[in-house]
Amino acid sequence: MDGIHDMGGMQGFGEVVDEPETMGFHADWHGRMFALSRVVRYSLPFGGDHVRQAIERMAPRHYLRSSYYEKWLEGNIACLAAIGVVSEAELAGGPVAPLPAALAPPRPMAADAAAAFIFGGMAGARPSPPTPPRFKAGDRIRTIAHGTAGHTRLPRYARNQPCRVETALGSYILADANAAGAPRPDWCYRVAFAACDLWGPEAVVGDSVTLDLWESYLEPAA
Amino acid sequence: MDTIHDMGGMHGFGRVEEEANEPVFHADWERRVFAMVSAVPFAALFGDDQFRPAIERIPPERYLSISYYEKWLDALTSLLVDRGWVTEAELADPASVPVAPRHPKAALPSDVVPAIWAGASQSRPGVAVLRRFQLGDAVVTKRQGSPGHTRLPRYARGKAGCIIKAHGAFLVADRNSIGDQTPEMLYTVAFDARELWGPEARSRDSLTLDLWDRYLDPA
Repeated sequence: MDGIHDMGGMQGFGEVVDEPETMGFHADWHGRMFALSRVVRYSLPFGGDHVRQAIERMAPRHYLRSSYYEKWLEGNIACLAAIGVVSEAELAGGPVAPLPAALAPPRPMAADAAAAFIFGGMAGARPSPPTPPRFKAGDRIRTIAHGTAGHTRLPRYARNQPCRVETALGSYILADANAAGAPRPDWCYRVAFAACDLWGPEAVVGDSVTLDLWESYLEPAA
Repeated sequence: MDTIHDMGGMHGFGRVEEEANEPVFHADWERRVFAMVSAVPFAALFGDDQFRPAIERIPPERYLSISYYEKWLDALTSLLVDRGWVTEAELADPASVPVAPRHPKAALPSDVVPAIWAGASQSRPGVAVLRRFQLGDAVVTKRQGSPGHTRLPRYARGKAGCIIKAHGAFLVADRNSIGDQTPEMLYTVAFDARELWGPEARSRDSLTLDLWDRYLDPA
């Protein structure tokens, strides 16, 4: 989905304001939002690909007016609503309904599990795709020309571009398929683009951009 | 400039709402803005190629929040401020602005109406320009945009198409927007919908764009 979130290469959004790393959260509720999102992801059957997809579906004007953690809140609410954990009526202040019977009981997150989850991420089996990898480090390849109506991690600015495989990263669950509810593994590669290919002759010669991309986004050079 | 205005091919903006019996203007002030934008260039010269970039420079969040004629008003205001015809202080306190004597080039209603209907042609039929492509030639569009104004949208970059018409010499919007009136050959290029939108598009659909020579390479 090429929504408002796909801003790479766009102009007119003003300067990127750098802040010292020590800033931490800008407001107490940001910390709560961060903690809530970790607990929810640990306990309920949706993950980062689903939250990202929900954020990308925010109305563009609302998206541009929302802060980072406001977007997290919107994305998490949409995912919770999609699996029936919260309803419009509950969000509007109505009585809290019990969890849907079809949903497996949420896995509670103990305090000592929180740090491991936050810093280590969710460990998950990563089965291999049924076919061997098509590419290897050093291969000169290109990205596919078109996006999709669904979630994708191939940004617009990197489509239909020549690139080079830097590293084969192994198998990962394809975000596009996972967000669509049919997770499957796909080979993943670290791929480098020349800045001049992406941004034109005004880019600095020798600069490059690297992206981690699934094999579904890649094809042999013509 | 690939700013928020370049929405072709983007998702998530919702359905295009068709309005039954759409009026020309939805409010009286829209009529006034239309008239102002038509009349002001008689005195403070600007054309579409300056006016469009002024619209494109509206900050994205504001761009998405305002209506069509609000964008016109924003652009007109910024052009007049940039050229020193209006100051920020005057905009903040219009009542403080003394009524100026009539400007010698100020347009009369009798000037404006015919000018609106005539338009300002960007065609330069008398000028000889290079014609690199013939009807039926396969071309591919440039892959990249430019930091300035351009009429080659993002969705049509790096795409294969076919020349179906040569219009002759026209001012190039990219260059005219910064004061260079060197004309260039303008073509109509046809693109298969699938080339632009992928295999989900209908195979018989196509899209045509009027593009200058500088946007094109031989396929």
